[in-house]
This record gives sequence, structure tokens and C-alpha cells, in this order.
Amino acid sequence: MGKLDDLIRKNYELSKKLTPENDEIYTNIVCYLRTSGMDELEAEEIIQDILGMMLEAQKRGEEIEQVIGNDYRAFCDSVIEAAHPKRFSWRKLFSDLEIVVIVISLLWLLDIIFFYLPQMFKQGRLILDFQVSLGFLINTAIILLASVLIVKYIGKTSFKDSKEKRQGHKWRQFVLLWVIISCIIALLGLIRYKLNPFVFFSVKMYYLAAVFAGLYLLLRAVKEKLPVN
Amino acid sequence: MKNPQLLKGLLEGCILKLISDGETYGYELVENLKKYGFRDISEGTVYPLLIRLKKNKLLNSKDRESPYGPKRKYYSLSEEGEKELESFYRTWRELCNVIDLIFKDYEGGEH
Repeated sequence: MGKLDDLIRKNYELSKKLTPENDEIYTNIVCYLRTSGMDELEAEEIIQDILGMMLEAQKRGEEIEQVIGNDYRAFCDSVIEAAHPKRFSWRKLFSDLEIVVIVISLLWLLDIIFFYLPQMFKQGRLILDFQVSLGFLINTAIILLASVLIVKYIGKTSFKDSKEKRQGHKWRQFVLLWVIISCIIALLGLIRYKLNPFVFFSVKMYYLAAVFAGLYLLLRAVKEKLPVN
Repeated sequence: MKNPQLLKGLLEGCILKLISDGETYGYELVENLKKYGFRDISEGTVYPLLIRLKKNKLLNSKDRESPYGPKRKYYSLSEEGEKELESFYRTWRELCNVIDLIFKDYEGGEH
């Protein structure tokens, strides 16, 4: 376990002591800071400090507004500005690459489950050759891009969101989200099947699994060694 | 005080001075500042300044147990912090002298 995972777990455990109202504010702050482009370890240390402030205020019987004001977003912005995150850092690059490797491995696993397993059952034999096709690559690219955009969107709107929920837009949002997700899944399925014949190369699944695992461990090891600043 | 930019710089100097008086943590620092007359100050104002001072290596910090559960971050001045404090105070004195001179014959504030 690295220092970062340790801190995230500790913060999570401590955050259970927050009252429901404070927990909602805390969650929004965490979302905003984690997607701010700050170094992830630095962001987590700041989250720990803020959690400490909130818990101590709670113990003193004070409202959060008395501690950090009622404009949580402005508070977060002033914190982010003070930490002035660098546009580029090797640590950030490696942690982004780590996420990319995890996402690609997961999508690969899903592809095996939804695309290869049915074929294996149909043909009654084990298939160990994975065919890297145009359909798989395009789908992977689309999902990666969509994930990044969704995370950025959640971060940017983290303080607006909770207000809208209270105004009763919850249902409409849910239905809209459901329709969009269904369309995307249908589109992805179409791309996957239509563009499957365009195969670039084929590779044994166990080699690919070893490559993904090795790459992940390597990126993680390098990231741990890099200094925060 | 109404001017936020001006206040920020002055507050940083005051924070350095109070920390140089002895290791302290966020809430205690805020209470101290309030006691001296910065009435509208809160941890929300002070915390970003502490981050910036620490980022510029003017402060050291140490986590210590607190009776309230989560660890408290205690701040102390680094060597550079001491120097920055001296330089802040020198600049402040000079500024005070200049402003006093300029305003010596001013009576607008009396009304």
C-alpha cells in the first residue's frame, strides 16, 4: 500500500464521523479538489486538513459556514490557487497513464466477457487468441475520452449538483441519463460488431494480461519514487 | 479592512509573526488573530495562506495528536520564514513612516 492509498483510506474512515449535512459539503469539496488538476497526494493532504477543520468545528458545535464561509467553491478555488498546481509534472503524467492502463485492461476484460465468452460457448472450445480489431480500438478510445469528460464535468459541477437535486430535477436527470447511456451502449455494440473484421493483429490473451499487469506495476513503482514537486 | 489583496499580504506577515511566537495550529492561529482585532477572519481565509507559505518553504509542519480525533497540523517557522518575517517587518516600518509623513497634515479622517 502506498502513501496515497493509505491517506485516502484514513480520510474515508474519518469522514464517517461527519454529520449528514457536513458529509454532503465534504463530498462536494473532495470531488472538486480531486478533479482540480492538483497533484493527487497534495490534494489528499489538503482534504485531510479540511476534514480536520470540519470535525473540530463539529466538536465545538459550530456550523461549517463559520469556519470556511458559505461559498465553498470560492474557498476551494483559493486553496487551489495557493497550491498553484503545475500544468505538467512527471507524477501527474504517470498517474494519468496508470489510470489509462487500468481502464484499457478493464475494457479488455469486458470485451472478453461480452464478445469472446458467447463465441466460446457457441463453438464449445476455449479461445485464447485475442484479435485487436478496429472496432475494439475505436470503442476503447471513445470510452476513455467519455470517462475523462464525465469526471471533469462532475468535478466542475460538484457544488451546483446538490442544489439542483433538492429542487426535484432528480427524476428528469435520471431518465435522461438512462436514455443517453442506452444510446451509447447501443452505438458501442454496433461499432464493435460492424468493425470487427478489420483486425490489426492477434495476440495470446495471457500475454496481453501479463503486459497489462507488468505495465501497471511499473507505472505505480515509478510514480511512488517521484517527488511531489 | 476592505481591500482583499492588501489584507492578504499583511495577514501573511502577521501569521509569520504569530507562528514565530510559538508552534501553533490553524484554529488557534485564527483565534489569536481575532483577539488582536482581525474580527472577520476565519480558517477559510487563513488556511490558503498557510498552504502558500508552506509551499514557499517559509513554514514547517508537523502532525500531532489532538483530543478531537483527527491529527492537527502544527506550524513552525523555517529559516527562510524567519528571514521573510524580518524583511516583512522592515518593509512595513518603512511604509508606515512614509505614509505617516504623507498624511501628517491630513485632517479628513477626523470628521
